[in-house]
Amino acid sequence: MKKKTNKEFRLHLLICAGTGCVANRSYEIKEELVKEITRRGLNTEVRVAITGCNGYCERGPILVVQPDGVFYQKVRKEDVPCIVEEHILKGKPVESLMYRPSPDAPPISRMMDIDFFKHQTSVVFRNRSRLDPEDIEDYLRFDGYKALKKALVEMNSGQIIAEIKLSGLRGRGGAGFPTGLKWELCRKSPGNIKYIVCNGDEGDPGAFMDRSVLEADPHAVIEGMIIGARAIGAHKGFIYVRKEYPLAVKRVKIALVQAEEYGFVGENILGTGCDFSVDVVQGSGAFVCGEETALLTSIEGRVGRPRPRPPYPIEKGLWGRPTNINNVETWANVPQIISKGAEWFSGIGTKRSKGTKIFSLVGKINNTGLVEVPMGITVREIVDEIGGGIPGGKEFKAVQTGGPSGGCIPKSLLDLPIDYESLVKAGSMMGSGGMIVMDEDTCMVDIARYFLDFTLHESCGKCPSCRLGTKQMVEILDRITEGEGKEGDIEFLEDIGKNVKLASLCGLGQTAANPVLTTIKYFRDEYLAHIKEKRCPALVCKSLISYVIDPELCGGCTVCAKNCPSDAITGEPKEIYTIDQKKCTKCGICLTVCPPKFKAVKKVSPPVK
Amino acid sequence: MIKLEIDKKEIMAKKGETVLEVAQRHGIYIPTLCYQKDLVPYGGCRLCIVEVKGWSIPVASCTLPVEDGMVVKTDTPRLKKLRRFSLQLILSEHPHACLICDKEEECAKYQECIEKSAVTFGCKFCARNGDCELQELVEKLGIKEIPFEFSYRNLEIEKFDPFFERDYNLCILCGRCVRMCQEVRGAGILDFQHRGPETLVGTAYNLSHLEIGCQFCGACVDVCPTGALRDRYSKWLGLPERYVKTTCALCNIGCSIKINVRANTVVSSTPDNNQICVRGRFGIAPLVHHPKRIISPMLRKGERLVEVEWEEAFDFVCTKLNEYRAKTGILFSPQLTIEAINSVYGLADHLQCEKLATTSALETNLKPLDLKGFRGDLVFVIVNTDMISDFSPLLLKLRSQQKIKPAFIVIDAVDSKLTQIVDLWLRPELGKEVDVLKLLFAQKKMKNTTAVSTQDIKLGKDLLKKKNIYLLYNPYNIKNITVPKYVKKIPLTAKINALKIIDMGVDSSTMDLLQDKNIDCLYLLGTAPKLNRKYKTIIVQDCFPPQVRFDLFLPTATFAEVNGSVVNIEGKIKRIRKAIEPLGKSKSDDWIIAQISKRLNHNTKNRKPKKRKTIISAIAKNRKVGEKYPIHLIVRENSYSFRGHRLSDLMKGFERLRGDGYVRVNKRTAKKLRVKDGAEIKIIGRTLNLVMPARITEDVPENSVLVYYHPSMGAVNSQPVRVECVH
Amino acid sequence: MKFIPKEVIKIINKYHVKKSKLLAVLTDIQAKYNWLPPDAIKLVSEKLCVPLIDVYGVASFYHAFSLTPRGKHIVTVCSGTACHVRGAPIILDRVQDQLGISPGCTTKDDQFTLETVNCLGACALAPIVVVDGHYHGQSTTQKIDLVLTKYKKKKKRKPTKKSRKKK
Repeated sequence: MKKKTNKEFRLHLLICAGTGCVANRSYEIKEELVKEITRRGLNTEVRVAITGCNGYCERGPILVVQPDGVFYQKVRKEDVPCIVEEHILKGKPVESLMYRPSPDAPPISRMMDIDFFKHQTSVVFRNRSRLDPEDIEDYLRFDGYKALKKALVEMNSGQIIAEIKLSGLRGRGGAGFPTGLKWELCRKSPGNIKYIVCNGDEGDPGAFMDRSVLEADPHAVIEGMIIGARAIGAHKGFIYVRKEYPLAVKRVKIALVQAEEYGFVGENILGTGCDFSVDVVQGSGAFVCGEETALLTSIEGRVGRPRPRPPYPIEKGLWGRPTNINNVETWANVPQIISKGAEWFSGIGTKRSKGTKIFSLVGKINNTGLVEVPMGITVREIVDEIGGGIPGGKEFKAVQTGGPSGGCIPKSLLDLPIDYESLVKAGSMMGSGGMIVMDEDTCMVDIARYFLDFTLHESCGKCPSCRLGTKQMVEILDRITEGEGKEGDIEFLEDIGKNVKLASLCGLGQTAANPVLTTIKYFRDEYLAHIKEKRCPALVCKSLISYVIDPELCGGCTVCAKNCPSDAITGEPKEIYTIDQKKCTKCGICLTVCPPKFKAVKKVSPPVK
Repeated sequence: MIKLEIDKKEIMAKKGETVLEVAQRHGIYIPTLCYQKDLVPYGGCRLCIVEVKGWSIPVASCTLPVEDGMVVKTDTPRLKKLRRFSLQLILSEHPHACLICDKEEECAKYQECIEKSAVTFGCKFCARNGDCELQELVEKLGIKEIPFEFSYRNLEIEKFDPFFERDYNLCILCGRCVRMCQEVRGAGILDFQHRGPETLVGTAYNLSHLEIGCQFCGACVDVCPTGALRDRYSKWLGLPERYVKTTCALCNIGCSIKINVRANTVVSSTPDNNQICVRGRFGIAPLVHHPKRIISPMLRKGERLVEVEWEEAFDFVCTKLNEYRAKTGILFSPQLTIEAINSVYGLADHLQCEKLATTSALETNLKPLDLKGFRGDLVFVIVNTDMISDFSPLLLKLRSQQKIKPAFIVIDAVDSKLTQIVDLWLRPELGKEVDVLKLLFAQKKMKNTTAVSTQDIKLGKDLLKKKNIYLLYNPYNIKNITVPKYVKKIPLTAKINALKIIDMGVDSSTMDLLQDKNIDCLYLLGTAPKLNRKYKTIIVQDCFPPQVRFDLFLPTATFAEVNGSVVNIEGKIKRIRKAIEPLGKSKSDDWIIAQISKRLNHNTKNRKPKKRKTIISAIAKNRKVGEKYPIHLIVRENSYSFRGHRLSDLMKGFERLRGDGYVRVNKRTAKKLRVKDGAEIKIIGRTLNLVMPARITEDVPENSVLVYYHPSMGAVNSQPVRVECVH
Repeated sequence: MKFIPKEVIKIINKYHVKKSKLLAVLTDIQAKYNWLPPDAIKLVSEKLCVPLIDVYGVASFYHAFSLTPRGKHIVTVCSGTACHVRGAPIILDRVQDQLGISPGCTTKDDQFTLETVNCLGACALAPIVVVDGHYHGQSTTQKIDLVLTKYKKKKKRKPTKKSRKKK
């Protein structure tokens, strides 16, 4: 029997297989679905497939039933028979598995009606929960590789570059260099052999949009790269993916094999005489390899230490040849610009920043996940409307964007429209798109220390300013968070920070101090509280807090004493328990085990002596 | 030409130059630390930053190519501040107590600091004190304090290796040594390790340099701006007061060197804007001031050796020479100056002596090497020649011959550690090297009887395609080479002046001379070979005590103490200049012989020495190993010697690096024969009987042992032998 | 697992003995043995004609490679920002206490290796602890105690099984 094409199915059950949902055992659900569907003989009309990251990771595992777009959240294996029975056989979607904005609100059945998705604009994510990333047929079903045909058959390289330039697309990886201009410069760079590279070394902690794009829609990236290769005159491309993303590597490799089978990659693409092949290179755990020159040396199989620019990679890149590097998201935008036109694209966004940007909204936020929004949207819209606010009714404190290179945006700038320039002005940067929400329980000094410590250990060690300047800063911050802060520390930090920015060779060092400088700028009082009052307002810094049991609330249930690993809690059952501060290691177990009906264990700062 | 502006001065520059280079050429000072001429700019120290109009942040000038219309400022308050910042940070990891000490002046004046500061904190007890680029920069940038917390790495000082020590607590990670080791020397011993604050320079697995195959060229030591790498010998000799440009006469390359002198002491010898090897870098100073040197004439009186004045010594020589005249046999080491060699020939002519030879066998099919004659795409085929340890400065020159890196193919059964820098290493069985060559150049299909895989031969053939091929080989180590005419043969020998001596000719081979029964008196200039019989008189003219019973010892000066010249591998005459006065009563070879000639009424002036017949080196028979002699003995030329003395015997460092007094035994073979490392073994051949301590290694192939030739071995060449343990 | 030269050569050949594939070769060796045995590094150096120091430098620079043998169980605590603000440091402290080792180290009995990772990109599950590839999301100190005890027990059972077999 001929294999059924994907079009012929009545229903598509697409189970999310992004890393988040996989960790929540979505593959088990898929197996269960297949079993159930087969058992009931529905396998000719219903298709069960995996899909890339849906983005709404908070609600995983996610199952979307297409073509209706019914959205099931937090699906468990046990729910499978019910879904098949009710929805597929009887045509009655299962309300209990649908999203509800609040426990008493009516369920929302369609994905696009959910607040989280409603406010988003899907360009790169246009295929989310629609297709199976491991099946090129699916991609083709949704106009895949149409842009490629257009670019290769109808356009010449000048026209492609002109279109990209006109669209106003800027690099999504950090600094926002105009993509069209970069391509043009690379095309004009002398040399017969040129390379293009897709930077998928998404190192910013808390950012995972590139991973999701590669996992969910690898063909879009490959299509973008082929168009770019055509425009620049390259015949060889590399996709560099972080080692921490094995799933992305797997999907890209599958996609490449399929693209080659279909004649989109390889020799004489679509009979146009264009040759282009792609290699997948796996990173090996070095943040600095996200820096383009370091990334290139890493592809060459060497230690990824950045080298000075100029010469820029567009002049001398891989093995000394002109090389064009763009990140995953940038490449994924390209096919859409070609097929829908530059005007359509530049209609989205602000004057200088066009199109959409994907952010990974994480941290102290209700709706953790990936959001694709038009440039110019405000932080408030993202946090409140899409993100659904802060959990537990806590107060918003700041969002951190741009990862270790970025900075914190405080409450006062909540209405800041997000684009490349405004973020830089606020002391942060777009970066690759991590957006970490922090609430009142987040200590800004600790966050600054966290990022700086990160940069310090990811520094390649070349420049003294980065290697030693950040080390000095971390030492000072360590002191402050340990209650040993001195007068003048803040000013000294600012001074070192500014110098590190100016004296370092690569982007890593030049931006390393941003988290410290912006937190000092916006949260100086927190620093002062640490230094002068030896107090951590957010109750985070271990040395500056104590755990105490509120005698008024303690119910004498003995749970804390039983769980304390250092026997620091004493008391008699039904009596009030106390913590011996000398023995206490501040592990916080007592706080987590204290029954909610008592809530007797509290953190206090400054610490009890 | 490119026009740019630096500090408001209009300056012309060439395309491809960096801002730093242009500024330096025009006398504009920009502080640098990681920059080093001849190395690829690194841009790591951030001291050479400059402001460029249109750039928002300062950029490193060492890596910044000049552009037309560029406007550069090198000395703004912002730059000063940032430079100080970077240097202060560097010093936060480098012991700096003395650098910012306010008692510096008193300390210098009284030669003793009131506030004692150990090497872990200050400069006082650092070997490079006074010769340190950090000290210079602190002075120039006006650093008076370090606002940062000092962190000492607390690493152990690496003292295990010969020649130099490493204290990475003082390292500032400028990467000069790393780049030198990798880019220039191609040695790949040093590299950065780890990253971030843990970044360090070191060897793989932190193994010692000896274990990792370092050749100790010392180039890393010479570029180190701090005391992290330091020459062990000269460590406490004080800073040199002057230097003398001269030539290293320890091998046939004859590298230009500088001999650094303090008072009448050779402190060290360093390269003279070139690349040299371990012999020239670390071998000269300890050789000159070697405790075993004899620096006054010694005469045997009865059983006792007595120190005598030159007059008495000359009287003895003249009496004997007059007595034996033509019955005198003269053996000289090629490692004399040309002037000395000429006077030896003159003396021989005067004595009508027909028995003049060199102390060790000499290959005759040599010709000058034309380094400028290489054209086109090059490929060098190296056969049985240890280019790295014997000819490393030459190898480096060959590597940098053309813009496109030449290809290298090695054919050698012995692992000469070249493998990591060559493109292909073909490792045949012993004695099959010639067959591999035949296979490489065969036009038609040939049966491959060697251990080299046919695939590798194909790789080699591919490398040779459309290239100009040069065959490098040491004729001492391989005989009977036949290659097509389009392959240019370049024979190499490590003996300096070899070309000169071949040109002048010798009367016989060393061995023939020693077998000559008509000789009564032996006059040795250099170490004594193995003597097969007794002589009536033996006169030795040398620096170090000989191993034979002699009647008179005439102390000569080393090449660091004399003026003269040598002829090197290229046929070039290179000057030898006197760096220090001859030690003690020692004198130069030519002076001694001139004095003798004068006393023999021989006028040395304007007389051209007689040309002697040239000896053709014997063609070795390729014998196969058999039941009686199951082990291959490989004999290689020893290029680590001075006047026939093994450097290995004279200096501990060379003993550890080379161990030329040992016989190298393959690890598995040693296990089979139950030979232990360091134990004495007997090597017995058809006409051979050697006893030497063994060193176990994996460099030599299985079922073989390797020795480096030494005159004391007598006539010895590669042959099948039997190995026995000495109990 | 014992180092077998043939296997490493197989990996090298898989990448056509190309110098530029050094990282890929090392990644595969790491995947095979869980660390990079010195002999394997030496072999790679020889076969790819890359100086030993370069291979070693690469292996020490990239955190994906381990130059020391790792434990039977790999415990990875994500220290990404999302995890950090949701309490990863407390979890890490707890794991350190429980195993008695700091990140990057292996327990004396070679059972556990503790590692941190910059971000696993599964921030919805923060804070995350991964043990032998199994994700434990929304971790708390209590949860993690349970997980670790489970793995510790596994270890204890093994020798008794063996001893039974012998009988």
